Order: sequence, then C-alpha cells, then structure tokens
Amino acid sequence: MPDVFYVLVCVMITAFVVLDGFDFGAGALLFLVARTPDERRRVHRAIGPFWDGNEVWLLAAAGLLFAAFPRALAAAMSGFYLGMVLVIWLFIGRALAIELRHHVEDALFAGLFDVLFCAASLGLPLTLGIALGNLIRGVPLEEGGFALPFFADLAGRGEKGLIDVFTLASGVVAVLATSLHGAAFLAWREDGPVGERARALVPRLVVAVAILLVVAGAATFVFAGPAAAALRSRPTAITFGALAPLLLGAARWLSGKGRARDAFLASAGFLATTLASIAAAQHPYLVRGIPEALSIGTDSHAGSTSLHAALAWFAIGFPLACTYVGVIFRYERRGGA
Amino acid sequence: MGEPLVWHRLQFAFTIVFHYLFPQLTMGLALLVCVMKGIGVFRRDEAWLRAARFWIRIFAVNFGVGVMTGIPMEFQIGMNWSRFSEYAGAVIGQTLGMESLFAFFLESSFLGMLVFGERRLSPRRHFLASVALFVGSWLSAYFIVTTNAFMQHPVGFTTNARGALELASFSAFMTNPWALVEWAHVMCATVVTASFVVSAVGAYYVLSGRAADDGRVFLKVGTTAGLVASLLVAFPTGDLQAKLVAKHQPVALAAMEGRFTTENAAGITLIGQPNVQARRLDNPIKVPGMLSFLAYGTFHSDVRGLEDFPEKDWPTNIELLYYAFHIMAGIGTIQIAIMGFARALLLLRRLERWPLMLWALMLSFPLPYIATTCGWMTAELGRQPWLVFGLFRTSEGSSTKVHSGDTLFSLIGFSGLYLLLGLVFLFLVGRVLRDGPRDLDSDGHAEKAHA
Repeated sequence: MPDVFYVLVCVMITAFVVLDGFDFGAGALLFLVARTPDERRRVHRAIGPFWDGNEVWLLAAAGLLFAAFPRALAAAMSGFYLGMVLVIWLFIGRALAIELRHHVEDALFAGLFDVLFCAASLGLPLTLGIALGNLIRGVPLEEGGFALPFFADLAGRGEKGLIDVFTLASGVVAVLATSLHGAAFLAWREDGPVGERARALVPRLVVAVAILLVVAGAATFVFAGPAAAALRSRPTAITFGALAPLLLGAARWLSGKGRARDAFLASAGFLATTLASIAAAQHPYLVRGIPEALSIGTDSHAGSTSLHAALAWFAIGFPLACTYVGVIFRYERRGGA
Repeated sequence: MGEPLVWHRLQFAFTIVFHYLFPQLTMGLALLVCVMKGIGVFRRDEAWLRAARFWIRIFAVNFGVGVMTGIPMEFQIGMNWSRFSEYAGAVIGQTLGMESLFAFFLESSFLGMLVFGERRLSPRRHFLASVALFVGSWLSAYFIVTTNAFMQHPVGFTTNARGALELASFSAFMTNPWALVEWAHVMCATVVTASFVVSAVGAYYVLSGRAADDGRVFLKVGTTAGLVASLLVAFPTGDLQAKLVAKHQPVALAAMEGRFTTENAAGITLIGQPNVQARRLDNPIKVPGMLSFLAYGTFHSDVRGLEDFPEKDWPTNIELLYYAFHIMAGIGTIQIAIMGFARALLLLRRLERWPLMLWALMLSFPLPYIATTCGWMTAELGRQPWLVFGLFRTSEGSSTKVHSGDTLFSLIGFSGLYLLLGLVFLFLVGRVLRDGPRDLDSDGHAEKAHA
C-alpha cells in the first residue's frame, strides 16, 4: 500500500512537470520565439487557458504527499525553506506578470511584464530542478529534519548546500528539458512566425538536452554515489532510463517530419520516463538522507486508515481532474481564438 | 527577538489575513454571479446578463489575487510548522489533498470559460461555468474549514506508537459537527461581504448617475442577499458556533468575554477593557443574564470564568481575543441594521430618495471585511495556546530547523510582495469600476480597448 502511494505521488509530480513544463518552457523561450509585442501576445494566448490549471498539479501532488507521507513533506518543506520561499515568490511573480500582461494594454509596461514572465519561467524549473538534484544527492538529515543554506561548498565535497555543481547541473537540465517541451508545444499550437521559430528550436534544444543529460548523468556517479548505484542496478530504472533517450530522439525525428503534435507527446514521454527512472532509483526513499540510514522512506506512511481513505478519494478525484484537462484541451482548439 | 515561534506565528497570521481578504469576496460573489447569470439566462434579461458580465470581471481579478496569495498557505504548513505537519498530517493531509483534487482543478479549469467564454459557449453552458466556480469555491471552503475544525475540536483520530496522529474514522473527521457549523457561518459571512461590495458599487453608480440602471440591479441583488445573509450569519449559524465554543472551549469563551470569575446568570459585555494584570474587566457595560442565555439557552446557567482554568491553558492574547470577538459581534449587528433598513426602503421604493442611505451603503463595504477578519481572529486566538485543541501546543509545532533569520527574511519579502499585490489589485479593480458595466462587450473587455 505505501508503495502504491509512492507511485501515485510520482505520477502527480510527473503530471505537473509534463503540463506546467510546457508553459514554463514557452515563457523561457518568449524572447527567442517572439520578436514583436504582438507575437509575444500570441505566446501568452497559447498558454492562457492552461497555465493556472497546470500549477494545480503541484499543489495536488503536495497534498497527496501530505496525506500519505506527512513526515516526508514536513522534512522536505522545512529543510528546503529558503528554496521553497523562492519558488513561492517566483510563482506569484509569474502569475502577476501573466495577469498584468493580459489587463494592461500599454506597450511600455507590456515589455516589463514580458521580461518578468520570462525570468520567472526560467527561475522555476531551475529552482525545482535544483531541489530534485538535492533529493538525488541526499540531504544532511538528522532526527528533527534538516536545514540547507543556499550555498556551502559549491564543489559539493564538504558541507552540503542547496546549490552545488551537481544540483546546478540538474537545474540546468530541468530548464533545457522544459524549454524543449515548451518549444514543442508552441510548434504544435502556433502557426506563423512564432510556430516556425519554435519548430526551428526543437532540434537544437534536443541536442542541448542530450549533452547536458550526459554531463548530469556522469555527475551523478561522482556526486551521488548511492543514487547512481541504484540507477545502474535496478531493472525498472534501467528500462525507463533507456526509453528516455529514445523518446528524446523521437521528438527530434517527429518534429522533422512535421508531426508537431506527436513530437510534443514524445517530449512529454521523455520528461515522464526520465522522472520515472529517477523515481525507481530513489525508491523507497522520499527524502534521501546523508547518511542513508536516516532517509525518510515509504515506511513513514500515515497509517493504513489514512491511506485507504486517501486511495478512495484519489480514485474519484484523479479521473475528474484528468477529465477537466481533456475538456480544456478540446475546448481550446489549436491556433487559439 | 531570538524566539523563532514569534516570527512563524506572525508570518502565518499576516499571510492568511491578507489572503482571506480575497476568497471571502470570491466565494460570496460566486453565488451572486450564479444568481445574476441564472436570472439573465432563463428570463433572457439583458440587464441581468450585463450585471453578471460586470461582476465576473471583478470576480476574475479578485480570484487571481486569491490564488497568488493562496499558494504560500499550503506550503507554509510544511515549511514553518513541520512538527505540526508530522504530528497531524495523516489527518489534515486528507482534506488539504482533497481540496486540490476536487476544488482547485474544477475552479482553474472553468474560470477561463466563465471569463472569456460568453460568446463561444451557449448561454446555458456559460451559466454552468458559473455554477462550476460556485461549487468549486464552496467545496474548497469546506475542506479548509474541516481542517480548521479538526484543530478546534479534534474528532476521528487515534494516536500511534510514535505519538503522531492517525486517522481512525474518515466519516467522523469529515462530518465533524464543528466543521458543519463553522462552514455554514463562514459561507454566510462570504455572502455578506459580497452583498456589501455589490451594494456599495450599486450605490456609487446610482449616486453618481453614471450607470443608474445597472446600479439599481446591483442594489436589488446586494441588499436582498445582504439582509438574508446578515441575519443567517448571526442566527442560527453564529449562535450555534458560540454554543459549540461554550461546550468544547469554555476557556476560550471566558477570554472572549473578558470574564475572570465564574458567575450565575452571566451578563454579556457590550463595552469594556480587559485588564489581565488586575484580572478584571474595566468599565463594563453589560446586558444582564444575556451570556448565560446565548451560550446555554437559559438565563440562569453558570458561565465559567478564567479562574476556573489553569493559567497555562489560557489563551495567550486575551486582550486581542476579547476585542476581536466584540468587534465582530458589534459589526455583525450593524450589518443587519444597515441591510434591513436599506432593503425596507427599496421595498417601499424610497431608497433613491434617501441619498444618505445610499452613501451609507457605498461607504460601509469595509465592515464585513473587518468583521470576518475579527471572526477568524476570535477562532484562532481562542484556540491558543493549542495548535490542536487540548492535544498539541502551538509552541511544539514550529519547524526546529528554520531559524528566526530565515523566517524574518521570508516575512519581510512577503510584506513587500503583498504590498505590491494590494496596489495592483486596487489599480485593476479601479479600472473595472471606471469602465463601468455599460461599456462591456460580451467577452468582458471594455469596448474602447478594441478601438
């Protein structure tokens, strides 16, 4: 039963990355795909109906984690305190930029909001990627949780901080992978110059993601030994880990064939399999500790009554949430109104 | 000020008070928009459709700020209150998880359709989008209120070997009598807020003559809903809530009333200043027997004073609790008077001949915001010194690994950010009010924006 919830929490996080990932990416690429204020308005319109629903997946993932593994949520949220504060501010700043861009017609200020939107769209995957890197590397857990400063030893050898070379690499992978996803989304949903530039960016971003993935993968062996060992020895981790580059290649190939929607789906598949491979290597740990023995794993679950109740409402609520996403995608047909 | 608990509490208090300024209007307005939209669609009445269109615009701006300030709330429970999360997460994680899944997805999916969909959807479907927002926001409130009700009056739990809580009965937890009463009370209060805001804008448009026809529609909806909700918020919901406090948190009731000694046939204090050092209420003006009656249903019941309880279980800020409660109750009474008088004048078709009443309606919209804030302060200050009443103290709940420097850093940041958010909100709402209901096309954009 706790393992079921481990999988469900991972599914929710994956849904968040796959969905919010494309609007992070669209924002990150804003000034590359859109040269004029009018083109930038098109990018805003393309993600307009989706972005705030997409963010809900993160809240829902956190809610499920809370219900099923409260100790893990408590340790992670308080341990990453400063990082979480940044994430919250970035979410607020980004929402503010999107809303104001919609309400204010003035060209001067529209430019300001575009810059803010782009910066926050880069900052969020960077911060969240760094957080994921921390979970893979492990955090200095003690009995009452852990605390991490922003920086300690950047080389990652001595005292642990939120940011070191390894977690930074993982953050950069997250930025590039979501950028690719955003490009694939815009290539599918937009015609005209915005769509064309997005299409041209896809193969270049695929190369960038591939290179960074190799670098980050190698860094895992140097900086995160236990996770790397699990990644190498577990069949599920290997399978998903092998599928990921295939899907990355498929995104490139499908995009070249002009099948933009399928390329977007392949990019979504790439994100999902990458995360699945990491999840398989992390299992049963929700928060990997240094030393490993203090890690918070699935055995810290909320008790069987809580899990049964949560499974019941999740079984009703999850299909509902998926239906809403389907309705919105169908209602907001390609090309926008 | 090395004590981190102070900063944890201050940050949570500040962010939640600021946050709740927005949802209270969202939730009440969701109901009123449904009503306006429903009348407009089913009676094919353009005046009501235009009213709905105008309020959907205000709703959208308000909803947006509500979401932005709501994101920190869910995370802060884990960030600042990790020991509490560990202790109670198995129980309250249920409702917080359900809120995202059942309410947030519904709201975020249909908000776009409500705001931009009038031309693209059939009238009936567009009406349904407003119903979806109403259901979503009221459901959301139930989950949050149930979470709070558990902290006020824990039911349906057991304690496990590690000393943390586990769920024992999901249905008992979800149907906590405290939650049902608190939800009804809170939802009525949201309708009061929305009614005062709608009436105030209506009065402004009638007084200024800018859009008098639309203003009249707003006044009709606002004063009707306002009178009904102002009455319901006091009786039966507020009354039931007070009886629950009297039964399960007698020490909180004593502090709310500034009552230090136990008394038979206790009177209710209208005005007075609690003097905690001298253990008495200074300059009290009382209605005899009233508190006994309100709390227990007879004029002769004993109402216990703070002296009956160990001092370590007294609420930690008796003075603020006392004033919060009295301001809430006082404003609640004034609200009934204002709405009752305004609705009666409207019924007699005299309202517009009494500009003074219109001025009163226009200027009184802050009252329900103050009353609801004080109401929540009463509930949460009355719960102290407990985080989960009778089980778990607030001082045991904060994160040990987050020090004062971290918390003050985030608190200062939130203060600046929320100041900015507040200004942006006022600016955007000001624009909607300036454009007025007349100039809107069916997509909710001001027409001049297209010109």
